[in-house]
Formats: sequence, C-alpha cells, structure tokens
Amino acid sequence: MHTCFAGYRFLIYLLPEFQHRQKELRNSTTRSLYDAIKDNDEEALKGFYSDNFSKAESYILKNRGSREDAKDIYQEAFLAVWRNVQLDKFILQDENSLAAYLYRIVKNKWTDHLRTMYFKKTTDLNDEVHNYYGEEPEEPDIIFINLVRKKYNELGKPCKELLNLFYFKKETIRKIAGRFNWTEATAKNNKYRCMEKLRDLLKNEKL
Amino acid sequence: MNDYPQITDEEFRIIEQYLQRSMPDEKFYAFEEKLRQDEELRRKVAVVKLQITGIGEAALSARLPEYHKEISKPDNHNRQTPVHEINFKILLVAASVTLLLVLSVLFFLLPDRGQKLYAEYYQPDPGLMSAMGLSGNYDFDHAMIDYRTGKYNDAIQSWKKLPASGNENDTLNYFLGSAFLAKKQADSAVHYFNKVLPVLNSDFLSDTYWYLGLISLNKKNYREALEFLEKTKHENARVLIERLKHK
Repeated sequence: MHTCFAGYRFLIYLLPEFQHRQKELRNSTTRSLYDAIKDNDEEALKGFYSDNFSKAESYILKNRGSREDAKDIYQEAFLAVWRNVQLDKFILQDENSLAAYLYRIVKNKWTDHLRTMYFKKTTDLNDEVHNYYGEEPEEPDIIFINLVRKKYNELGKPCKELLNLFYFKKETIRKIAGRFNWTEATAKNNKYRCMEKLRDLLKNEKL
Repeated sequence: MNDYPQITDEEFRIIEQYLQRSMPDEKFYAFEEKLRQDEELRRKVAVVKLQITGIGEAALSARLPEYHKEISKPDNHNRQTPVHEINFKILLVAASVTLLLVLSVLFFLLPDRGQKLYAEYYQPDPGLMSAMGLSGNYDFDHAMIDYRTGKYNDAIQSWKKLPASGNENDTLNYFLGSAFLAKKQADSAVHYFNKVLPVLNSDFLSDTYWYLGLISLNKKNYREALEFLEKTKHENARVLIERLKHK
C-alpha cells in the first residue's frame, strides 16, 4: 500500500500543472512556501491559491453552498491566512500546515456563515435573538486593517500603484524610480506623499 | 485600538526601516531595546505594521479574481476536479500500480547524485553540551537534552515556545533548523536557517551555510549548493566542493 502511495505521489509530480506551479519553488532551495508567501512571491501565492481551492470548494458544495459561496469564502480565508503570515500570528509547524490552516479557516468561516444565515431566516421577528446569535465581533486589528483597505481604495490610481509596488511587490525605491523615469529622491518623495494621504484619511477615524 | 496615534514623518520612516529590516544591525538592536521600554513606541510600531499589512491585503485582494481565473480555465485539472475526490484518487492509484514497475526500473537506473552525496555527508548537528543552567535559560537547555537524545519533536515544541530574542536568537533558530532537518523537513529547516544568516557574527553561520549547501545538493540545485559550500568553514566542505566541480 505504501508503495502504491509512493507511486501515486510521484505521479502527481509528473502532472504538468503541478510541475509548473512548483517550478519557482523547486528552483530555489532556500525558499520555503511560508517565506515565499511572506515575501508576496506572486508565483507562490498563485500556486498556493490554485492548489488548495478544490478541496475547499468540495467542502462547501457538500455543505449546502454554491460555487459562488465557495469562491467568496475561500478568498476571505486566503486573505486571512496571508494576513496572519504577515503579522507572524501563524506559527509554522511543518510543511503541510499552511494548507491545513487555510482549510480550517474555510470550514470555520463557512460554519459561521451558515449559523448566521440560519438565525437570520428563523428569527427575523425577534431582533434580540438575532443580535445575540449574530457574527462574532471582529478583533480590533482586523477592523483596522479593513479600514486601511477601504481608505487605500479611496486613493487615486497613481498612489495605489506606487504603494502596491513598494509594500506588496516589495520593489526597491531604485527600481520604482526606474519604472517611472524618476530620480530616487522623487520616488521617495512621491511614496511619502501617498502614505501621508492615506494616513490623513485614517487619522480621524475612531475605532 | 483607539484613535490613530500621532506618528511624525521621521518616526514613520524609522519604524518602516525597522519593520523592513533595512537599518544597520546596530541601529536595529538599539531600536529593539527602545521598544522594550517604550509602550507608546510599541503601539506606533504595531499601527504602522497593520497599516502596511492593510495596504498589502488590499493589493492582494485586487489580484484574487486573476488567480481564480487560472482555476476556472477549462483545461485546468483543478477546476475539473470532481466534487467527490475519491474517484480521482482511485484512478491515479490504479495508474500508479501499472506504471510503478517501469518507474522503479528508471529510478534505480538513474542514480541521483545529489541525494547520494547528501546521504554521505549529512550528519545531524550533535547539539550543545549544555549543562542545565549554563546558557542561563533552563527551558532552552532542557529542550537541548531532548534534541541530543533524538527527541526532535519534543525539542521543537519546547523551543517554539521561547521568545526569539536576545542572545539565544540565532542559537534557537539554528537548532530549530537542525531539528527540522533531522526530521527530514527541509523546507521548515530552511525557514529557520534563513533567520541565522542576517546575524553576521553568529557562531552558527558556518554550519548554517554547510546545511543549506547540503539541502541544495539534495534538491539537485548544484549551483546554489556550491555558493553555500564556498562560504562555510566546515572541515568536509573543500572535499565536497571538489567532488561537485569534477562531476
């Protein structure tokens, strides 16, 4: 049986889509999936997204969800995993733990969603009961991050692009300057101005 | 979290450099020391970190439709994976039984040189000869005994609970990496070994390069293996480098 599974695992690696997705990671020994996600490696993020979607979709479809539900819940869970990796809230146990963590969050979010929908349908005449069984209060950190996301989306396209390049793509100021044909000083200045705009939008918000 | 705290431009610049680890080591450790004593500064750092994370999350969120399109493509196996996974698995197991003989013959006829060299040269780090209390950290030393007696899971569980700060930082990360490698979990080992590399005066830097070189070898990344092995002072490095160069 063990030999069968060994062959099965080997066969998986022959499939073109697995080879393509894992190509970037295999080419660099020193890049674990965890580190790649932390560095916002696009190939790693895409691969992690694709590799784990079908299992999540299966679960939701088997539990009264639609394909649209599966996509929405999966994407929320994916962002939650990414966020917790960035904030060092997820502790790496072993090589499979990221996928398991993602799946666990999908299940929890779907269960919460079902619970909320159930009580919305059955207690629409009883606000007190509905509120009591409402969604869990969000952590302050998550509330703040969602606020940042909202205000970021209110920035103009040039600022969003610049901040995206610096903070998500993690490009250097030099590379960004080269892209836009700026001097490095101009790039730095523009970046700070965009951040200042974002911070101004956030400043008066009470949480 | 209450109102967004007042953070000056200069403070923001310094905090950003700290979070991105783009300041010289000396300034970095001085800033960490200041953080330990200044609660207001800790709050500001937390806010800046959340802000940067929020920007990243917004950027990633905008990309998800594109990621999803890859799954939705008609010829993508993932999208066509049936709801009942068991059918796919049974099919593959049946195919693997059929192909296994052929693959086994190929496997044994094509020796993996990197894996053979890895097996020849890899020895787990024996650990520190720490008497209890010698490092000043009872928990660390206790877990080291587990490590030295091959109880790698126990050692990992104990070490992971320790705060990664102070003098045990590179030591802790090095031995976490060694323990994972002894458990044949190379990716996790690499994650912790990478944390030793920025500590330029670490006593474990040479050995870290050695193990990263061996891991690269095992994965047949010979160029990368050579780069690491050139940096280590391990006694077997020269011989191994010569063998790699004259393959």
